[in-house]
Amino acid sequence: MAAGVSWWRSFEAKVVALLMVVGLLCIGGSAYLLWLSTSYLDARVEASIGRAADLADVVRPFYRAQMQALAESYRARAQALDARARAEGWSVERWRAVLEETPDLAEVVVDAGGERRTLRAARPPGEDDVSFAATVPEGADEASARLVARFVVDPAHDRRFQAVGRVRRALRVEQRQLDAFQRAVVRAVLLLVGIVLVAALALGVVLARTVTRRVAVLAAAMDRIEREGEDRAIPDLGRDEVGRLAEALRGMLERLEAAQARVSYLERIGAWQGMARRIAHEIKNPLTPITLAVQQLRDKDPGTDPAFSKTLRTAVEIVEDEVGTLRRMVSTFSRFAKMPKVRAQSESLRRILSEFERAYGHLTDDERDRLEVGGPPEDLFVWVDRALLKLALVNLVENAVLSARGHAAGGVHVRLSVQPDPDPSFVRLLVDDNGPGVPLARRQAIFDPYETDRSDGTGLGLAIVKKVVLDHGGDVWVADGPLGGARFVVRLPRASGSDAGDQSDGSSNGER
Amino acid sequence: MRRRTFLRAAAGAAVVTVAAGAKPPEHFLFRRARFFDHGRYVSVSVAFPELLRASDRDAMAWLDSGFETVLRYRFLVLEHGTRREVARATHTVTIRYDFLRGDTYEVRARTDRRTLFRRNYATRAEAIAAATKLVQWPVVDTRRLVRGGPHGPAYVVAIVAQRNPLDPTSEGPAADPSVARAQPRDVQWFGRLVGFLVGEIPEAEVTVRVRTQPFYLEAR
Repeated sequence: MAAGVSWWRSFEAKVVALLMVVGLLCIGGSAYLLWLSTSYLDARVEASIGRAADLADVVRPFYRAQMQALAESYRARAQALDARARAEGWSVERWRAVLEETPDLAEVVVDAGGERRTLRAARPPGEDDVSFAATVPEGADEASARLVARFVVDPAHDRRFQAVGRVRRALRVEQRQLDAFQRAVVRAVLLLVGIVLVAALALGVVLARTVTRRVAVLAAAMDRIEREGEDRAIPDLGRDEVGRLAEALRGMLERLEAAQARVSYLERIGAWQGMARRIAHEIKNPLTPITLAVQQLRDKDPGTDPAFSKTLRTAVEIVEDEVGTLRRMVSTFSRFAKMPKVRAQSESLRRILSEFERAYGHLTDDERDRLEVGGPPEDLFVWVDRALLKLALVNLVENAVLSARGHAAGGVHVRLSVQPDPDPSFVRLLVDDNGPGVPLARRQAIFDPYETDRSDGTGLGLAIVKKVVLDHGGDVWVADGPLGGARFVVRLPRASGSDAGDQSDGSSNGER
Repeated sequence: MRRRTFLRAAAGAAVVTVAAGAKPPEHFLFRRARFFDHGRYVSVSVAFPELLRASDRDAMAWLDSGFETVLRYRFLVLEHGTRREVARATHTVTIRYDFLRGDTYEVRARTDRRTLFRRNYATRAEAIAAATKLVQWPVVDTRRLVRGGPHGPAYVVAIVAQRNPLDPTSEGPAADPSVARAQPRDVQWFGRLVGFLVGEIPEAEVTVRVRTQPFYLEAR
């Protein structure tokens, strides 16, 4: 998380909040749909239960009628028994026989032999059996019954009816519990969905952190760069959009750093050029009078003293040599100070190298020394000022020869070749030598003016090379070479073949 | 609020939600009863008029429908103080309108083993009174009790009186377990979760839980 940002205002919190909102919306929608579904089903179930309950209620009047009919039948049977008994004059034994013959007749109370007798069947009804006592009244007085016949009612009638009653009661229970179960189902689903939501949220937060954490790392790195002004490395953050952003920032910072170094170098070069111009002017002026004066001195020698004349001639030669050296130095300073602006145009690299080989192929008088020039496999065009590029190549080859001389046993070997650049809009020229190479600690410093390890060098050759290359919008650096010495790499902008022959007024950075 | 506080709050809300859906504990009211020592058993007289009130139209309609109304009385005799269970008994009373004998209400009372009584009453009110006023109903064999007199052990009777208790084999959420077992495992599991969250499902249409005053048996 970036410094000074509370968690609730961070990118991670926004992602978490978004996940929660989405999750809650899903839950809310699901809960509403669930409530709709259960309410609909509840209504249908309730309607079904209602219809089933109504059916049970329909049975009741039928059962009532059935029981009333049953009671009437028992009364009729009792009447029939009474009639037969009176007609046939039944005795107690006859009544007992009738009891045994009639399975559902459990008991009779009759007047027999002048007394009231209660006769029971061999198997009396149990305490759980339902019985019906049918009375045959004596005349109009029902209280003094002539016959009381107790019949055992088939329990199946009541059993079936009560079974319907239990079903009806169960339906009532279901109806009452329906609402409670509907609410419980919704609660259960909400609970489960809540658990799933929490799990999904936790997983989402973990996954979101893989993005937000990297964004926070990027933000913190940019904070450090801005605050501390240091060019800290931006870490590798993967291959997705965030990773590509980090990569783009890293590239941008590298280009910024390179541009700053280039501007800084060019400013230094500009300062050195100013100084070189003044030194050249100040030194050049007295050189001619010095030469003329010593020549006059030599011409005025009468020759009377041969020893003096010899000494004078030697002195004049020395002065002329040193003045010559100073003139060359002044010339170099002047060239450095008055380097022209780049006038770039599309030039054939193959043609430039071919011309260079023709002009400078004979490196030195030592036949062992050789310059090898390798052109590109296909003709490449570069956007350069031909004269300035040749000046740079001359300085590089000269520097290579001077470095390798005295070091390489089999003679100086310098190779000029072309190599593609990873950026297809650039191409590389390579200058390899078999000299001692350039130590790592000096690989930046050798391009600074007046930086030389040779007693007779001005130290401006490589500075001129770098200024020319930078003015073309390219770059130059030194590395270890394949010939055992140094490899100078010059990176130049390419031009398309259709731009050949176009001329433009180049600026200090060689832009088209 | 920090992330951890937020996560703790979310976890706590979940726990509270689950706990709120759980069933509450049962509560017994105090009711004075009369106990009778019959030598071999102890009986109790106590009334439960709230089981069948005349103002309960559904209950009265059910009584008149001819379908049985079942009143179940479960007695639990406990040792006073220790609450050690001494004995249990269940009595069942059924009331129904008797179509066969017309305009009468049959009341039948049974214990675990036998029928206490079976009578027909001319009016509904009489039948209800007979079914809800327990008069000297046996609850415990005296051989299970200690005759210690006033200084001996005392006993308390907890009574759960219910009207039309659910028959779990045919009614309620656990009805017909064979059907439940035929369902897929995840549906059975979901059903158990719903059962946990549904809260207290009434075991009966009306349930009354009472606890009597302590009683003791005189030494002989």
